[in-house]
Amino acid sequence: MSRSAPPTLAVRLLRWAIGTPEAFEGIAGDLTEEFQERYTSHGAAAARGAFWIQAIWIAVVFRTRGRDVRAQRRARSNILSGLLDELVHVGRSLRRAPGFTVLAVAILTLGIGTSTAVFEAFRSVALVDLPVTDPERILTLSLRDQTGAGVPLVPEEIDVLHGEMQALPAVAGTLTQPGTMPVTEGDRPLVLDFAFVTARFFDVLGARPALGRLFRAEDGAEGARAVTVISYRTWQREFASAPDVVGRTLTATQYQGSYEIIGVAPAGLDFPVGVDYWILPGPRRQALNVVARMDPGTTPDRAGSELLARAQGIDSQRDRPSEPTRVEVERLPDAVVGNARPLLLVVTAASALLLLIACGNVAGLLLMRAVRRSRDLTVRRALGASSGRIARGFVLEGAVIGIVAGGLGLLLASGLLTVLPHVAPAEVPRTELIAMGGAPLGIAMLVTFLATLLVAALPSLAANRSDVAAALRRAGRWSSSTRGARRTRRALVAAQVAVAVVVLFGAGLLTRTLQHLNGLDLGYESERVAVLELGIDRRSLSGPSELTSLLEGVFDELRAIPGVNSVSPVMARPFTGADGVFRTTPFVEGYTSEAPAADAEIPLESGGPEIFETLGIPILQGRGFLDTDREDAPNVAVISQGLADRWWPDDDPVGRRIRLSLGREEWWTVVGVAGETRFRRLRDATPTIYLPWRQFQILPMAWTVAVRTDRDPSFLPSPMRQAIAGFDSRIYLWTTGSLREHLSKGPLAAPRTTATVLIAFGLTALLLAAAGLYGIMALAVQEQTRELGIRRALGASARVLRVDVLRDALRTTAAGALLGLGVAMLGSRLLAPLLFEVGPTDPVTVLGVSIVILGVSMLAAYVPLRRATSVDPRVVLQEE
Amino acid sequence: MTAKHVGELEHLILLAIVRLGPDAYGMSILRELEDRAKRTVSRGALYLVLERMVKKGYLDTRMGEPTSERGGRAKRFFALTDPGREALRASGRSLLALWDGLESILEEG
Repeated sequence: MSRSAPPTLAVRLLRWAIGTPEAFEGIAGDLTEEFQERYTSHGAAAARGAFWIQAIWIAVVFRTRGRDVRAQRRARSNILSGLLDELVHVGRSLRRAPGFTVLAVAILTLGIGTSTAVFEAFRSVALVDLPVTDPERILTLSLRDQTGAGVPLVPEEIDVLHGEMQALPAVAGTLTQPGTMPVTEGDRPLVLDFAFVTARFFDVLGARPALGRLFRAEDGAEGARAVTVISYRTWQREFASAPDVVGRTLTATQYQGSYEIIGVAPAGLDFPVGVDYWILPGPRRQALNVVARMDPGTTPDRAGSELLARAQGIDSQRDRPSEPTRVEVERLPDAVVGNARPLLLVVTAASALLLLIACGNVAGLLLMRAVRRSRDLTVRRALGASSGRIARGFVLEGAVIGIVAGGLGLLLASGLLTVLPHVAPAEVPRTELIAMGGAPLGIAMLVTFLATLLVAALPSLAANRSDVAAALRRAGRWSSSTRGARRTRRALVAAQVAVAVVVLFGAGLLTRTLQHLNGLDLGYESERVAVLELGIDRRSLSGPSELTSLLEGVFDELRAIPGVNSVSPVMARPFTGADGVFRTTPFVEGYTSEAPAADAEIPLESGGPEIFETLGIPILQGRGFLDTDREDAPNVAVISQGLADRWWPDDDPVGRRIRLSLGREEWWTVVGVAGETRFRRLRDATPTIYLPWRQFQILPMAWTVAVRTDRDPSFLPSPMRQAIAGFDSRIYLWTTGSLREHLSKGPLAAPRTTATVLIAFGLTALLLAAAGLYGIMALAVQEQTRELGIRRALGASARVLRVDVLRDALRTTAAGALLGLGVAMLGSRLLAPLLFEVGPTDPVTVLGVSIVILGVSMLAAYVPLRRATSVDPRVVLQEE
Repeated sequence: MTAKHVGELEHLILLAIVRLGPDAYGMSILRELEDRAKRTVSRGALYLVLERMVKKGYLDTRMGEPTSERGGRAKRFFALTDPGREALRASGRSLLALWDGLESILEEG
């Protein structure tokens, strides 16, 4: 009779589990005997199945408890196994209170998740080194004359400096702020910002390409093929990280040029901030600032002095010297992150506070739970658990909650990090780095560790051992806490209130800033005005007159669109900053030559006859432009009120003359005075000189046109595109947006983002603080129910009792609020660069925050209080 | 000095081994417990307790001849040692002393 053998693997399992060969022999033999019997009676499958089950069962028993009793005892006293036991207990007790657990984990997840995401974003943007060699040794240097106006150098002059200075051995040039012009890739119009740099730019930085190559010295040589390096962000966003991007071409219609893409810059090289692609200017055409590598043996100040001396030498050779008198030196990391630093710091600080408040809240929850469970704890103590062991239970409970919340927080942070680069305002550089780090495991672990420490340590500190023991001893029918524990809970809530006040105060200041910015008198109409930019293929144009007639033709087409009231060219899209448009130092007739120097450089605007009507800028004196103010007519100008007051404070400016340093020694007669506007900068009005566009044209980056409509301008793009396409194929609509959109994407974006973040954080903090207060009040009232009942029975009115308890809550809140306001007023200096017409100690905000926090606190305290005093005293006393 | 006592399962197993005499090995002990004591004991528990009592010195073992129905493996027979016998007796005495006089009450109960 053929006999089958039991499963080999199961036998092996037994051998491994049992250890002693003799015991194994006997047991395996027994099981095989049984296996054979079952094999004949029930078949192979049943026999094998049963053998497996027995083998596994025996293996488990032998491996888990199969040590001798003494070893087991040793293991039990072992700290680790004690912890394991404790953990199992904690897990069980948390599972038994799902409401508490879910709430605590959710609050902590929120805190850990947001702060992890914000810390990681801060790290990527501000702390990760620029992808250059020794970033601290790279300096940006701007020369200025005594009026503060910039004295840039042309590439030729910069190249001369290279290798000539001791402190700055390597020198290149760059625009400080990127410019914009219409470019296309094939038929696809792209809205990208460029920066002119000299060919040594990337060598001076010591950067390595992410793809292809960067500029070489010969790329800048005259007659060399026009090439460009694109930024990593542009490569990702506009070219979907295509590996074959090298060799493609960007065509700039305006400059009649094509740039071959030769490489992709490394991620995070956002310099000048906001740049999408770098190109090389002609040797004499473009005025640039200096970026240079500093010798390790020198200081930025010394390097600046040496550059200034050399630049003064160069300047004196010029036809018209600009006389630089000083130099501003900045290290590269500051130049890149400097502008965004206040915003980053504020958001990071706010999220740290949010984390703190979340920890305080969960710690408070744990404390209250300890009191609620005092009876359960008494039982455990009676069964022999030491008070130290019980305290360890609290710590473990906090730790378990912290670790679970840490895991979930990491998920939340990863989600937030994919969203952040898209909602960050334009001031924030290097956003492409934010999502590249992947899940910020290290930061999440650190944050979780700190949070857990707080959450776990606070309650055990509060309910320190003797406290717990005392509470346990007294735990009878009236589960009540000791004075010490109660005080700690109050301190916790006061701290939460304080933190909430700090965040709310920041939110309040930023909200007021936003309000002020929104309520500013702009000096022009922001509604019903659209600003569009046109791309024109100038290669096919014969000369300036054909361009002018082409543009006039387009303006007429636009005017013919139903709903369009007026149309005028403008110098550039709004909010470029005063530096973003052409500026000039005017010579005012009747003044000595020194006088106008105080005015430094005044931005120029040019426009058509309808410019003031289109933008809604009032003409205060004289007239605006007429159709007849053309090439063949006398030069005219309109100046803004501020200039009129400065130059002719007592006289009528109309009819006076100014000369502009435009390379044309011509006089311009002032024909009108216009109101001041905040068209170039939102935060202050820029005094402006307006010239008729037919009399003054510089070759703009894009032809910018303002269009006034009789309704919401959102309908415009499609009829405009049609009108332009039908008019002439050499011209196309590049960008379009209402003035309102320019406003909200431009100067309002950063304050709005910061305000929104802080309001969200502030409200969360308020909610958590209120919940914390509600919790301790509910508990306090519950503890005092008997006392309140007795007092009611003795004749105290519900009103008196309410006032009593309420006073208690008020004291806690007020202490927290005062502390918070103190800290907030010190900390609000951090906010100062973001504020507008609001002091860091704005009394309205102080008052508002105080009212909100006290009101919410009273509400949080009132609900449990009402419940307590409405209890029938007889019921309470019967419970005795 | 009081003799060591044994736990309930140990008690039962020791009794079964005494009953089985020279034929006491894993399977026979298991069947004895099931048939006579109406106790189903998991193999894991049985073997674990057996090993524990071997280590305590209550049981002696001896290996039998390998047989084909056991896949060529030998039986491992168990027998009480003197300390084992002593412990069993002590536990039995304790039980009986407590049982004494209660049988009528508990049977009726």
